[in-house]
Amino acid sequence: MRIHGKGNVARLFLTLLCVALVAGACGGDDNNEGGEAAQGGAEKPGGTLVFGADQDFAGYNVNTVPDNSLAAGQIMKQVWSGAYRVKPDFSLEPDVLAGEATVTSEDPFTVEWKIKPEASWDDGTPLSSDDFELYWQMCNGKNEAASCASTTGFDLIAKLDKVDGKTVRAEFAQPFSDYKSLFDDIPPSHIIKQRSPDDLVKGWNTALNEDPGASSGPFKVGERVKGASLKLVRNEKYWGTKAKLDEIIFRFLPESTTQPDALRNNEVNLIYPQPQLDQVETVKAFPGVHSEINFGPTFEHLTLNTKNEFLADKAVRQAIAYGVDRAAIVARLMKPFSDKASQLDNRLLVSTQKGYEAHGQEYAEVNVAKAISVLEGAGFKKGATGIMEKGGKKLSLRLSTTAGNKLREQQGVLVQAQLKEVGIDIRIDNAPAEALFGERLPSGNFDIANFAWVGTPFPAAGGYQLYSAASGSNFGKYSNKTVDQKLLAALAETDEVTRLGLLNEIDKIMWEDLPNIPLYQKPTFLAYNTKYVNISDNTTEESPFWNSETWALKA
Amino acid sequence: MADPGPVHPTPGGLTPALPPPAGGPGPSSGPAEELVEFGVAVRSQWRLVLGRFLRHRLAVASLVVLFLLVVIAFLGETLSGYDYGRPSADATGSSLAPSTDHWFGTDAIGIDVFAQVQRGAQRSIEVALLVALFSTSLGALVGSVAGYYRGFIDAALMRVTDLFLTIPTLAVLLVVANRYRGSQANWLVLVFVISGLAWMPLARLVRGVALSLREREFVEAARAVGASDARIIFRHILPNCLGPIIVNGTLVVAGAILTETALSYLGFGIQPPDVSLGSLIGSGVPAANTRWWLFYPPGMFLLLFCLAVNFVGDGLRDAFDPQQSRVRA
Amino acid sequence: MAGFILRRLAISIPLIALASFLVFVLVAVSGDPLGELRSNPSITEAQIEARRHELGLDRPLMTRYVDWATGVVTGDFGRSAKDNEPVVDKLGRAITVTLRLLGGALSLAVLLGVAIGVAAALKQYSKFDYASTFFAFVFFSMPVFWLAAVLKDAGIRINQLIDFRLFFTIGEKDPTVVGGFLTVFGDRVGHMILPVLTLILIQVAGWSRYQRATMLDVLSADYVRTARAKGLSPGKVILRHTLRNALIPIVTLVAIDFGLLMSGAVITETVFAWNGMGRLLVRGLLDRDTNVVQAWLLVSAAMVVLFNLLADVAYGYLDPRIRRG
Repeated sequence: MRIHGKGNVARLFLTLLCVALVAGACGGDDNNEGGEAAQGGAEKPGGTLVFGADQDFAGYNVNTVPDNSLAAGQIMKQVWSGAYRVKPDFSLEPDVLAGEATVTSEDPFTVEWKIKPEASWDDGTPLSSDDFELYWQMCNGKNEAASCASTTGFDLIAKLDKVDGKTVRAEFAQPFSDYKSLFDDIPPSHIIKQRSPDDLVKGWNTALNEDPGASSGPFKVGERVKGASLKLVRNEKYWGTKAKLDEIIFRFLPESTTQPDALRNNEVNLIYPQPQLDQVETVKAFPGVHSEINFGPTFEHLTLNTKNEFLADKAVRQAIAYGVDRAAIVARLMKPFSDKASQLDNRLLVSTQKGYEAHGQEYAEVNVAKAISVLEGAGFKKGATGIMEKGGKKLSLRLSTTAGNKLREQQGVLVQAQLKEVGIDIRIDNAPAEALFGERLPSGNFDIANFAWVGTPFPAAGGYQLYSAASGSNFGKYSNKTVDQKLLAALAETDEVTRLGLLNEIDKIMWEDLPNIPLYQKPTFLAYNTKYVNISDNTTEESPFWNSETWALKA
Repeated sequence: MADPGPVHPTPGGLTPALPPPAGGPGPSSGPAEELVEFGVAVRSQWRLVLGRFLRHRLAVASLVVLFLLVVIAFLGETLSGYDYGRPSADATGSSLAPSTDHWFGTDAIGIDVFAQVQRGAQRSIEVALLVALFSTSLGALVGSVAGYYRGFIDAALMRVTDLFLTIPTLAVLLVVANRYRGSQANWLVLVFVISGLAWMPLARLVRGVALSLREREFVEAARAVGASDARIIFRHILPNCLGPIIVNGTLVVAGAILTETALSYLGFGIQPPDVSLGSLIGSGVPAANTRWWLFYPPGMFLLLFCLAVNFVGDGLRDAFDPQQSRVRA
Repeated sequence: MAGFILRRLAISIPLIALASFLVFVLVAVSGDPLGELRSNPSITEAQIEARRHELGLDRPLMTRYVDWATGVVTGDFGRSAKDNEPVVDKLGRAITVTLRLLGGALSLAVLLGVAIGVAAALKQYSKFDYASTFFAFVFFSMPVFWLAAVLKDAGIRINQLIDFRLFFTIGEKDPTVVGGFLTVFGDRVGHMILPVLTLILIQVAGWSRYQRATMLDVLSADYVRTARAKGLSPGKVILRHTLRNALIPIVTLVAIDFGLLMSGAVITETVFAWNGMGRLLVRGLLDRDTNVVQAWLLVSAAMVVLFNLLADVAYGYLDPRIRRG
């Protein structure tokens, strides 16, 4: 870089500045290992761990709509126990339950939950069937005013009996195979009743906004500075394995680019951000920090709006499926994170789930020639500009994704270039997340949308929510009667093998219909200071905090 | 007569940039002093200004640098041969370090960074120039009208100016830009809003000059000849304010670019797939240690450009108003 | 003097009132606070309408403005649409944090700016003058966040070098720190170093240049030559005659630049993850929290007006000609 004619002092200064900056760039560690995982080994009692969280949260009742946020979920998983705990391998472990929830009768479909005798709140009140009852009453969908984030399953319970203080029996209107997903993060009914005896609905919605009332988990909520931090303190009255750490402190850092530096400077000890290439590379090189990438049940995809004049034509959807080079997207955007990244060929199950089968083989590899011939077969012809035309209209579609997400923006540019080869003109039309999910998707104001669905260990319920014609989440308005039938059947099928078989059949049909195109499984990124042991990633909703009572300082 | 308040020596532009400070109330007026009605003296006056400017080696050098940067920004498309929006043919083209093939390397999807910087610079400079044009025109107009008419018009316009001065620029920009996030029309909206919040300092400056100029003989003479107010303002008053106007203009350019950069860093500025220097630097910040070619080139371009603009502005100010000559107390 | 202050005050109040209206209209047309709610498919249209009514959004603009304005005058800025907390509480928390940053940055920047400017003017064309001029130009050609990022990186490297955590990169305080006044004070100051440095470097750049020019102007005045001719030493000349006059313009510049300082603080707070006005605004915008954004803009405008008023008072104190005017 030649600098013309500046004074001597100036030249010296600029040289120094450049040297300093470049030296800074080269100064990083070239360690690609990401540090050794600290599992087991000698432990020291006590200690504090500081977590750099992404977003602040509002109130504590995670089951209500306004408080159903990521941060609240991570916090409350440690404060309130639930029926089951989901382990990193997606298997379910009874948490508050004395054993597995049992199906006591097939017709009518009835399930019985037995609560552990020792399960209790930190104020001494036992965790009882009252807590289950209130939860169901608020979430069964019969109460319009009660805010409940997910009524799936609860709305199928016709009758709930409190057999005794520790046993609950529920009779379902129809078989519901994912009954194990019910009753997680159970709020303290006795506190709600205490604070709002005359209006339980209001109590459920708002009584737990300023504090969670009581704790039934390994930690309880301590001091909070809104917008800045929250302290979780060990619950000495926890009925399970007592936590080893004294405190876990959440520091809210919505400016996620500050998290790696905070980790490096020991201002936080654990981060769990959305992975971005440079962040991951940077953190991998930190000494004394362990980082890992795992693939969870969340997956990226392209949803096609079947109401769009072009997308209503199956040939166009097929052309897109043939034309998008998923392998290339994975190679450029995901492989730098992890060699294990691969494209996803099933929209109901992810590759790490039991029963996963890859379908849609003909679309597995990009095939531009086939895409073009399919379009031509449907009456399209390449115009002078290289874009397909039919009846004088150019085949032009909008591609929308969440503005501000660098990875997604680059993905969009890639897809645009790939489909240009086929002759489809893609206009990039991004919107901030709130606008995309808040207005555009629900109102159908999109052509192709690129975002991610958060998967769950309960694929039948998940699939039902996404693809049944009546569902509010079915933004592309996909409707196939056979699929709807099979989805209902899967929801009711209690035999796991049969259920998985049904889901795979549904997926095969959907590869014919192509209402959306799955791209890849999204990775999660966990990084922590190696002076802590026993931390392990959990890609489900549980988050890495699923076993926080076992975390400890290395001796 | 309304009390116009203490005369604030006004800075120009959006960054703390400096006009000739008044030693007391009343503005300084340089070249206007010796203006002669029939234009002969004007040319030699400009020549004097030019001469003074050329004596500033730093300013001249910066002008050359500026010229080069602008040429690269607007014509550089042909230089690299790459398209700022087109990814490379395959994954092997991704995240390459600078080489003879790609002078500034490539990004994660293989887009040539030099092409991006060139396009980003073009966008940023476009925004800055437009902002300078609009805000300078508006400020000069408001200021000259206020200073010329005095009285109620002056008071009213100055109150409006004061009102606009209380508006927190970045915050309002964020509010407006938020509405247009994701839209390609974003940049035009930003140009208008930034301009709308940048004209006030120049208005005050020009008002000060106009206030003193209107008492001059040549204005009286023009009025005696029957020239309309508009003619007087445009033909006599404004040309004599050109010094401060031009200086202010250059500083607004630098300020506008930095403002747009800040907005883009926060995610509210130019939206993808289009690029600006700000969006490139903003997304390059996390890459500073890992893929440095994404961070430093746009940053250095911006730094160079702003430095050059500021030096040129400084040189111009000295050229128009050589009051700060060597004095040893 | 009293009449002068009263006159300025009388102008400030309608100014703020007018600003409040503009602010309200601007925010009202810029976004829909219900957007986030609509993203959840389980929420019915009825629930959204109920929330809309709860937030009062189904009333005409003027009614909403009057309601809001009357609330503001009594100190009630409404509630946050995100977590229902009274906005005045959020503002209170945020302002105390930001004032810390602004106060530190402002006072240090003024001191340094004046000192460097005066020194450069006194030693015009010396190495110091050239160096300070050049550094000034470099710093105010730099985007704030770039400088902040560079300083953060440098700070962390220094920390690692000296094996002691002198510089902090996130937040205005460490939630784990408990102890006596000295411990807490040390913690807060440690968190302030880098952000304040970021702001100062850029402000000092501009102000020192201005102060230098002003000082040169004053030094070349006739009365200074007279004083020297009378035989007064340079030191006395500077202190007694020039400094006071040289400070007048910088006061008004500082006042005018207050808005700029606030913008710089917004960006700096974002880079350093402070829980102050910067984060409040950005989060408020991203969350479509209109009450928060409105209150923010109004408070910010009021602060600028207030600061300008203070500057006018200072100006009046320094320049006797104004006082009598």
